[in-house]
Formats: sequence, C-alpha cells, structure tokens
Amino acid sequence: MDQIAFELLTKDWQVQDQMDSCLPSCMINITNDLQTDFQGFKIKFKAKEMKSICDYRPHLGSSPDVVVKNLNNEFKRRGAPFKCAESNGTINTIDALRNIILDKDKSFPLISLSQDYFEEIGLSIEGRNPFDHVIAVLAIEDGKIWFHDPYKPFAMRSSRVKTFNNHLPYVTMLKYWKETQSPNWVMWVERVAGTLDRWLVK
Amino acid sequence: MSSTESMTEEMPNIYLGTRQPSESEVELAVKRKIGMGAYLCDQSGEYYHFGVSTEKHLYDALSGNFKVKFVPFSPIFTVVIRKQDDGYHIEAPSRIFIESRLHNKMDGFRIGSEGSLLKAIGDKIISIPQIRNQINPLFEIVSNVINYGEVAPNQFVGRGRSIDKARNYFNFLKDVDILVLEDGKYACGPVICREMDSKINVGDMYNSILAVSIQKGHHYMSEFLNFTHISPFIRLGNSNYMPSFYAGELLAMSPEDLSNHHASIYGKSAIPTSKLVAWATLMANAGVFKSVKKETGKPLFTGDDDIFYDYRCEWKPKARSFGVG
Repeated sequence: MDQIAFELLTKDWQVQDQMDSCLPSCMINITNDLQTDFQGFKIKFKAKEMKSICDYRPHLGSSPDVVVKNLNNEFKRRGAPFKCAESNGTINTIDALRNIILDKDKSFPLISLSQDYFEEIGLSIEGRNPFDHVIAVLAIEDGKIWFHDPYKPFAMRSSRVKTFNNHLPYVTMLKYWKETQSPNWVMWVERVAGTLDRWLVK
Repeated sequence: MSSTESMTEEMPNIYLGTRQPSESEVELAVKRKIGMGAYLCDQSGEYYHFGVSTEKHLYDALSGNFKVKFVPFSPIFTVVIRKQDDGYHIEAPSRIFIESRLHNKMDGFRIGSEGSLLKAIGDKIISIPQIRNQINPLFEIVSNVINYGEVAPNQFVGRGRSIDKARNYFNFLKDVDILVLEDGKYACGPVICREMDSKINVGDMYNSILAVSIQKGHHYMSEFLNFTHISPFIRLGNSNYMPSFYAGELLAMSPEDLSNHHASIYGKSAIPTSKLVAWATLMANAGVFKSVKKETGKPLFTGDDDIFYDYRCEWKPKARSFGVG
C-alpha cells in the first residue's frame, strides 16, 4: 500500500463526529466497504443505524458486548450472509491480522490501541483515559501497519500534530495493541461459511 | 419512563466464572457491558463504585495549543458482586439509568459553574443593554424603595403592567432578600441595606443590588418573569469559562469554538454565528470577555483574568463534589 492507494480506498470512509464514537465509526467503514466486494446485499449502514447497533451513548461510548450480537441480528434481518466476530488474547498476532486482511471473505479488522498511541501522534492528553481507541487495519507490509483512524480530524486541531501518518512501524503498533484493557483485541465481519451468494449473479 | 422503572427493566447480570474476580476483571467486564467511558473509582466489600470519564477537547485559538482532557464525574453508579451457585455475578444498573445519572451529574455541574461564574460577573453583566432593559422593572421598584423608604405593588401598575405582574416582581425581590414585606408595604431588605453601607458610588450600588437578583434568581427570572434575555449571556459566558476551568487556563476562542462548546454544554442550538459574535462583543464591552484579534483578522474571545481567578476560587471546591478537579 502507498499513500495514493490509501486515499483511494478510504476516500468515502467516515470519521468520528463524537469524541468517543470510534467503534461505530470504524464498524460502519469496514461493513460498508464489504459492499464493494459483495454487491447486491443491503448491508450499507447509515451512521445513526450503526450507533444504535453499537448501543453508542455519549460519554459512555459503545458497549462491545452487544455489538457482535446486535450486528449479527441486523445482518440476519437484512438477509445478508455475514456475521461479526471478535477475539482477544495472544492468539491474535500480526500474522493473524494479516490473514484477516488477505481473506476475501473477511472485512478489514478493527483493533484497539492504548492511550500511548495518542501521545505517539502528538496529542497532549491529561487525565485518565478510560477508552481504548479503535482503528481499522488496512495493510501490513514492509514492517509497517497501514490504518484508518477516524479520530484524525480531532487530532489535526493540535498545532503539535504537523502531519498525520496513516501508517506506523508494526513494532510500535504491536506495543499499543498489547497494552490495552483487552490486549490484542480484534473485531471483524466475515461471510457465513457455506453460503452460495458469492457465485450468484445479482 | 422513570429511572427506577428502567433500572428494573434491563439490569445487566454479568457472569464472571467460578474464580473470585480481581478488581481489574470486574472493571473490564463492567466497561464492556456498560460502556468504555466507565471506570472503577472505589470499592468497599462487594460494592464497586464507578465514575464516567468524559473527553474534552480544549483548544486555545491564540497559541494553537490543543489538549485532550479526560474529566471524571464520580460516583455515577455502583455494581454488586454476588456469589451464586454457578459462580460470581455482577449486578449492574441499566445503561439508561447510568446515562440518566451521568446527565443529571453533568447538569448539576453546569448549573453550579453558572452560579459561580455569576458571582464573578454579576456586576458586569448588568451593563449589557439587553439585560439592563429587561430588568428595568426591577430597577424601577428598587430605586423607588430606596428613595421613598417603602412602596406597594399597586404603585407600579399601568402601561401594560398588571397588578399580578407587579406582585410577581415584588415577591421575587422579597425572595432574594432585596426587599422585605412589613405591614403590607415593601421596604429595603438585607441586600439593599448591605450595599448602601458598602458602596460609595450610587451607580455601583444599584448594579450590585440588581446583580444579586440575577445571581440568586436567574432561573426563576427566565422561567416565571419571562426575562429571556439573561440566560443566553450566562450560557455564552459559561461556554468560555467552563472549558477554561477544565483547561486550567483561559482559552481564546473563535466564534466557531464558542459555538461548539455551547453546543456540547447546552445541546445543539440554532444560534447563528453572526448573533453569537454580536453577543460576545456585548460581553466584551461589559468586561466579561476580552476581544483579541489574531493576525488572520478572525475575531477571538477570551475571558478576563480577574474574573477567571474569582470564578476558579469559587468553583473549584464545589467542583470536587462532582469528582472533578
């Protein structure tokens, strides 16, 4: 991936409209992106719908426990052959992330990062941040992880943030991914195994 | 739906397994169910008390400094760990209940901040023409009481003002200790007596007396006396001073920044930026704000150092009771 490919891929992707709405923003981006691969299914979500699915409430944020259940119910209701899944712990390695990205039947993976990530991008943080920050991982290559961070417009307000990198060395990212409250957390959307929809002409 | 009803409707019960959970396991389980903004602030026995940390974006338009500050409000809710036959469970209130508790807490914080700010700007805000015009009926009553010693509501009837309206003004001034009712007549109350003793300049004296009416009763004035021009200025002032309180320093704000802070504190409003600039300019003329010009020519508004000092001294100890500070 390079900057041009990144911009082409994420040109219609949404950014956060609330400071704590990273999960619904990322989720809408990765599910709506599936539509380009699997045409014909009505899986395009509106921001308001996704916030409701993620049970987002200002200041409390989202409730990760209900996201998988609610999103799967919504896929079922729409007749879309997808499911949402999440996993955490040491089984999730850089290779596992790469496999999700390369799997045509899976969306880009979401991962959470610790507060140190914000310091890395140049933000000045005061007080205890109870949130892990969610981003979408787009590519892992040449020792770098390319990602889409919906927090970007907020970060760019800081005069300390001169440029906003859409990639970081994966040694650094691995540290932030590990030092979260749910270490090595990953969430993604995938095609339900055994469905024939992929071969159907719509 | 009342909070109690919603609490009984969807109280989450979280299963934690057979092993006694650690504090951090309880915290994470609650965060995943309730929302990542929650954090464990205290524990006693099987009771775990949680607060909610709110993210504030604090930008000083003059220096370009931007910081993200997490402001904790606590306590907001409590969960209980119970050992049952199959293992440990967390009993937590519903998210609706928690959300409502958080909003109540934040509303209380906002109102408290407005009160402390009013103590620091009361004398100044009086000179804003819209506010001065609106409270003119109160000035009329106060000036007559001071000059004649005692007055009655029927002396203030006419030119569109009914006896009921006049009585409402008198009752209000009595309730905020500006007047006292003696033998059916209204006379100088403790506030007037105090200000007459302490102020040499007559104009200052009237300003201080009327400032007390706003400090003590601006909510009543806006809701029951229909003095609707006061609250917008108080809210605008709080939209600068409250974020500055979070930041620990005065923030210079563009009209857009002011508008964003206003929306985040009071909810989205339809105040056009042009009106906001006009109001902020009136606040600057009154000495509540300072107007600063940036090199780009864009207007910036910031608070006054002395007001900010007084406001912080007044508000800081009270803000601690909300878990803030």
